Amino acid sequence: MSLPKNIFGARAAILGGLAILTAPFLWTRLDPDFATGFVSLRLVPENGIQFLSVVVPAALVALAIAGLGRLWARYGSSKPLFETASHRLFESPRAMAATFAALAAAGFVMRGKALSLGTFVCIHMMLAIGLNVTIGFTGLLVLGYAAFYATGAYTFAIAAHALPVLPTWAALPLGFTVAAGVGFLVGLPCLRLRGDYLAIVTLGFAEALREILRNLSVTGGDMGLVVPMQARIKAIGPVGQGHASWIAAVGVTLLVALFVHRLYHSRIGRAWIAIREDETAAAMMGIPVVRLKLLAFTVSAGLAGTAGAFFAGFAGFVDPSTATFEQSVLILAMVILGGIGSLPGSILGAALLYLAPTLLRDWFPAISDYRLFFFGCILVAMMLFRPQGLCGSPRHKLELEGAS
Amino acid sequence: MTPVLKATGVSKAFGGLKAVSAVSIESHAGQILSIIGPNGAGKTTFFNCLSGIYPLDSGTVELGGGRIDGLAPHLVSRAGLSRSFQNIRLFPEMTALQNVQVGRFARSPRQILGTILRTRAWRDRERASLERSEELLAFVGLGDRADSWARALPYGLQRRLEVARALATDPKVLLLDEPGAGMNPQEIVEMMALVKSIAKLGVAVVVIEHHMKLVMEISDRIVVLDHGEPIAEGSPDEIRRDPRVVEAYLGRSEEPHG
Repeated sequence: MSLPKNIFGARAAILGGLAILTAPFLWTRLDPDFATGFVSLRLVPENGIQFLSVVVPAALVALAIAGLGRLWARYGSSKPLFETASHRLFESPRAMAATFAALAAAGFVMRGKALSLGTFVCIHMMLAIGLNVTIGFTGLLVLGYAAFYATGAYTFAIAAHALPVLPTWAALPLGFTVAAGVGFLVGLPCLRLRGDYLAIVTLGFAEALREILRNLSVTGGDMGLVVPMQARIKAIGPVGQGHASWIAAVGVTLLVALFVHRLYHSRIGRAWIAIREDETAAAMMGIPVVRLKLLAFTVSAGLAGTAGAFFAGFAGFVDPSTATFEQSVLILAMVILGGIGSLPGSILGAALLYLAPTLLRDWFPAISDYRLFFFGCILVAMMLFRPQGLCGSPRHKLELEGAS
Repeated sequence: MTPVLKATGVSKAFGGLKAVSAVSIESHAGQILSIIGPNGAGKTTFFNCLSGIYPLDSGTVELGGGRIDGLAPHLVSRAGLSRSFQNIRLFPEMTALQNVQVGRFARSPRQILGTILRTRAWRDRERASLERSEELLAFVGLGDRADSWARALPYGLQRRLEVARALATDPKVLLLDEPGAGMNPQEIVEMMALVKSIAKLGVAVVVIEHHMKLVMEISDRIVVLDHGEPIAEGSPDEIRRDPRVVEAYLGRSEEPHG
């Protein structure tokens, strides 16, 4: 691919074009006058100001994180900062225990709303880590990842209705197993083919699943299902429901990250990366490519199911909105923002992309209308300026910069 | 002596073009068999047929007595046939050591649960795979470059790394597709010494190479292909005297290559 010599000019042109295209929506409004039938164009700055008030701080935070990584690279060590930190954390049980204890203790100084926000951030971290297994490690694009999230959530809600004795902790293995099974069946036909069939098939699967969930009586239709009290995360002794949820969320997220870290640093993880780098050469090295792709996708789907079942146990209800395309795009944006193929990147991306819109929604309520637009801008900007993501896994960096 | 690799009447056509027609080779443990021929003679296609990348139109391939034609590449590799590629196909965003470790995949047992729990058995096997990979890196002369990114290695070392990676699958037969391509004369001499030392380990080596002088020096036997057909087979001396070879290949330029 040959880009123009002046790369900055090309980037500026694309951003400028985006700005011109979107300007009318951000700064103006059509006002119909029902008495006269005329429609008048009015200049309204609020939307634009709200939009910028999200984009500018988010860009600053992103720049700060990227700058930190770059500073570290220049003055610290030859190894990337976030990768090194996460590797140390997940290689040492003591560090993991200390992190868990610190985060769990931090829950006692957080108030109710912060606790529930933190729990949701953890759920999205699990999702981003899970999606990274297929997109980042194995190089397979998945566009309907939220379908497996919904599978896990509904599985647990339905199972809790059917089996009143089902304990809360059963959510995790149950969500994992069922979503992994569904992922296996979805992946089986399309992973035998080369190319991005998986992206299209999962996209279609997610849309179909959402319609099915909306129309079956067992899933409660549009209303969704309420999870019976006995299966929800409850207060334990002096620890309130909010705190219990937060501590469980931190614990499960750490376990999920450890699980993926250990797979990544094993022959399975190396085989996944080999498949991403060169499928033919990987096969020639004795790697059963189809089987390992299927394994990656199954694990990925299972982790989404775990997150979904946890969500059901925490929120106490599930509805078809868990399987929306917007949810899939949100998770994808987290992975890309953090850095494709980077475990700490997924964690960071999930935290940023969940917190930024939510916190700013409290300050500017109308901003939720711009969520999708906001993700789109982030993805375009990331692809232009930092294609390797914030944490920039070194494995992906040069490939995307077109070094070869 | 029975051959390790025996290909009989291997044919492959793409549409109307017969890329390989009725080629038969026998490769013995510890010996070097060279396949030569002008550009487009079907040498690489023949390798792709042997290694399971292309399905055969007709013919059979036997490895150590068992049929391997019709098997998928990863099963061919497990059966004991490994190869390098004409245009280097390393895993660029992995380190040299990791590239070789990927080659150990099929030779280390499946242990998903052990991987997650990091059992003692898993750690022992992981260490064994690591040690074997380091050994192989040292064998090809890359002992001090284990942590370099594969893409960052100089061209000649990338070719060596590809050989180490292929050896990591514990092959009985090693196919090398132009191991000396793009190298300077000094590097070619070193590469050929490496090829010889691999054969000394008891591996049956099949080499595609253009550098005639070296082919004549290292080969035990030579097969000549032209337009996909075998036109001569024999020892280097026989090939040198064969008029058909001279006509098809060596006679084309005023001076032979090299």
